[in-house]
Amino acid sequence: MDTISRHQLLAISIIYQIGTTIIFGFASGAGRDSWLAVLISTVLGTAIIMVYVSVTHLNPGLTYIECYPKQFGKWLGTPIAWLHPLLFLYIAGRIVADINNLVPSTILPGTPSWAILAIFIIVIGYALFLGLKVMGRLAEIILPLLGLIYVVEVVLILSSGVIDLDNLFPLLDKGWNRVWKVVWPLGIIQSYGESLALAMIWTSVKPKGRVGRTMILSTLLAGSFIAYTDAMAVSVFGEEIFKRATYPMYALIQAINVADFITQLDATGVLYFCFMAFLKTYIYLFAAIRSIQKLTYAQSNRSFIMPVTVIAFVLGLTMAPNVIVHITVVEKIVPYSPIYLSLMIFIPMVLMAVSWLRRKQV
Amino acid sequence: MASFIAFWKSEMMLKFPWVQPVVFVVVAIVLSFFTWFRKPRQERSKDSDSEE
Amino acid sequence: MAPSEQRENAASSYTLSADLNENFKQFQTVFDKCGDIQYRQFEWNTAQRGAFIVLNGVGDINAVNMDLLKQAVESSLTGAVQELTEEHRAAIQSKLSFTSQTSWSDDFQTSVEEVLSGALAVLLDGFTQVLLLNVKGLETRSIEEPATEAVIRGPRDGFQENISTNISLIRRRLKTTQLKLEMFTAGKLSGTDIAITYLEGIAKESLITEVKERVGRIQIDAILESGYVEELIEDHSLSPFPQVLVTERPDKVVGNLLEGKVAIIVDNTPFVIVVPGTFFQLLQTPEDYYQRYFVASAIRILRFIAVVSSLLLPSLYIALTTYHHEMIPTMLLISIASSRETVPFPAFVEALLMEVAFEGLREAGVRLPRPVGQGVSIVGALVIGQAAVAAGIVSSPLLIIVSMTGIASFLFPSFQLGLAFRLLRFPMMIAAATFGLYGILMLVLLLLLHMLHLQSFGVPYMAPLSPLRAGELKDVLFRANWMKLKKSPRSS
Repeated sequence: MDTISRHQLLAISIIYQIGTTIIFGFASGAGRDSWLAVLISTVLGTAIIMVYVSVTHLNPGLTYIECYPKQFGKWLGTPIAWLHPLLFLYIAGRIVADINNLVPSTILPGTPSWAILAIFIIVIGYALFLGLKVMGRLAEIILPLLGLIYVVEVVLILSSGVIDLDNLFPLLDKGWNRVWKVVWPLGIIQSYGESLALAMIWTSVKPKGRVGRTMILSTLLAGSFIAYTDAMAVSVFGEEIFKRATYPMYALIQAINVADFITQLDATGVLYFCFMAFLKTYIYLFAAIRSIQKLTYAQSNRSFIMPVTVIAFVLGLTMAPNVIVHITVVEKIVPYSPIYLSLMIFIPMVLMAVSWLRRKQV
Repeated sequence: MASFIAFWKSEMMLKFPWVQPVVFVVVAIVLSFFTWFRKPRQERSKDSDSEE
Repeated sequence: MAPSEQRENAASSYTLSADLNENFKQFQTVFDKCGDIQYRQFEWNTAQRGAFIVLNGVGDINAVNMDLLKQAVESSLTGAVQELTEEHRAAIQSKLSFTSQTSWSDDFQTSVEEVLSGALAVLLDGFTQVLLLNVKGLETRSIEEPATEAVIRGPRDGFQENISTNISLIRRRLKTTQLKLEMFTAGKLSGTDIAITYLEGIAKESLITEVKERVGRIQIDAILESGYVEELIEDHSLSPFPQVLVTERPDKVVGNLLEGKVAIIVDNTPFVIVVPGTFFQLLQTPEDYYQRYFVASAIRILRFIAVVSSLLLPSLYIALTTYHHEMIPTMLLISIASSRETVPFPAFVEALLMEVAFEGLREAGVRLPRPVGQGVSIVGALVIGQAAVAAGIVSSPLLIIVSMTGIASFLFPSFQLGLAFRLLRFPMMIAAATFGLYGILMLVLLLLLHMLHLQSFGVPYMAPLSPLRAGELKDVLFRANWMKLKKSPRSS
């Protein structure tokens, strides 16, 4: 029985939704108002996630992507469904590329990229092989640990005396414009639209029910966490640096300096990120594998693990020659990509409406 | 043309952002053939199993 | 004792006959070239003949009062008896019940098996049935302190090789009829007795059935030690982590029985298996419960620190000095660097050398006779280590690390778990040497994933940490006060 409990789902979701923002920051384009942008995105994101949840409620027993062929018919629904694993694979490749850009440049200079990624992919492959249950348990245990480490980090930052709350004010003096610019569409897509992949594990949650509530809780918690971290980063660096930094959160850890004794803790930040990336990539690949399994009516998902992990590896290795290019793609191309927008926002809404209407007919 | 295949690379995404959706849709339709034509076989074998 | 179908031997082709000579010859053929077999012929009722067969050493012929036996037979079989009826047999048995346990058999193979287990077989001319008296008289070791699990406070009796003695050590601590004992035999050639013990009503039915089924399934030539049984009934025999608890201490077994676990006692070994075994159980000692609350909790926490450091300490040293020197506080970094100045090897080789040497010394200490062994371990480690530092082959910080790791691995209550961690230290060092902290993280993740996947008889290996059961967690991390522990946790 490859199931997870609600508590495990909560742990997985929180870690997933905080995800890569731990290094890259979130809504940094809004400068000192970024935390506000985060909170707004969280609220809107919750709405989007509720759309996904209601789709699964209106189609009981089916995984998310199976709802497409069911509601839109075989000929239209199936290609739309197939778009999902492709998207998941692409995003997984992006995360692997994140690792590819981060680790060699910060803690392991000189080690060849393919080796670093190979290790990453092998461990993910093993996790996929062992099943969702094991990952649920892992998330459940690690979450308190991550929380503890974060609290320690905050304490250390406070003790380093680098926080300057004045940097957070004046509030909104540049107006709401730049806040909206980051909320839509990037803010919503980044952690909340991406929760689409989480939809593929909802059917594995036992005891049934209350998935919606768990997801809302997780979203709110994750959002608050990100907002808080953003605010902290701004108060340490000031607006200008925050906007321009490649890895704002990583810079935050670098700023820790307690009595000249505890310094240079960069590596811990990178490791923290590695774990978040690990879990996110796992979920994406798991979602991709499960989608493929459902769409090809295969008995087990074992045979897909190998090709999927190899594809993710290749994607990550070749995607971005340097981190600047990589981030530009996220900021400029991804928010306007028709694939992202339609799969994460528009089409699910249509799906929900159709499912609801059909339900009413019956 | 060959470089179009590797649409996921950042350079490609920046220069030709429309490639990604196009490739996605094409591949999706190709893969859909699996679903469309595997199902009848599955149903057929399921039917024959239940008949026995 | 159940006659096991597996044990095919020459005996299965024979049957008992009424003629004494023919029976006797069959026994002689089967026990041909067995120098320790004893035969004796006797007469009863003046004209009737009979014979004893016993395996010297396993069965003790002196345990039977021969006069009593003769008289029992004679008085029950007065007159011309053609056939041994139920009455006759019962009569003989009741007369002999004062001296020993008796039973009748009309199957040749069973009789042979019984003789092999220490019974005295009595053949009577004219009857096919064989009278069997239980006269087991094996030499055993006296009860001593368990060699591998000493405590400061707690009982000092340990299990030994004789299964009956071991059972008695458990019985005396649980004077209740709820303590059940089911006997099995396993091993075609060894015919080893295995006892499955549990407390009825506390242990789950499904667990008991599962254990009995797995033990019953064992097909092997011989069971020499409980380790064989362990590997044959485990869920994941390929994993480095033990999934059962193995102990020489009766009090540990009884404590576990009270928690609903099932114990498997194997004849000829003092090591008893307890299932299911979870990771945190393997880190507990019974002494935790005999000492005072705060002391015991503190020692438990110390043990957890030891577990982590036995795995990670050398690797962290290698990773930090090779890849991430900036993380070490400056003063410490300077002193490490200066002591490493004369060392010609990179940190990884240095650490590897020392660790391998340490493991070698430890193994050697086990093999040598006791007086010499102690000396070699301590003296060897100190002297060689100091000499190595003086020669500039290794640095003193590393010596400290290796010693601390060694001490940490001695803190494991379960020898097998300690072994697993000791061995895993080496891949961890390789990961640290090649990929620094990132490598350590990845390998730790891999190990965690593996451990979270393990099950032991249906119980997740890392329970109660995962799936998270906060209630039971208090007894794992600290030793909760007796007041709070009144309800013994049921294994779930």
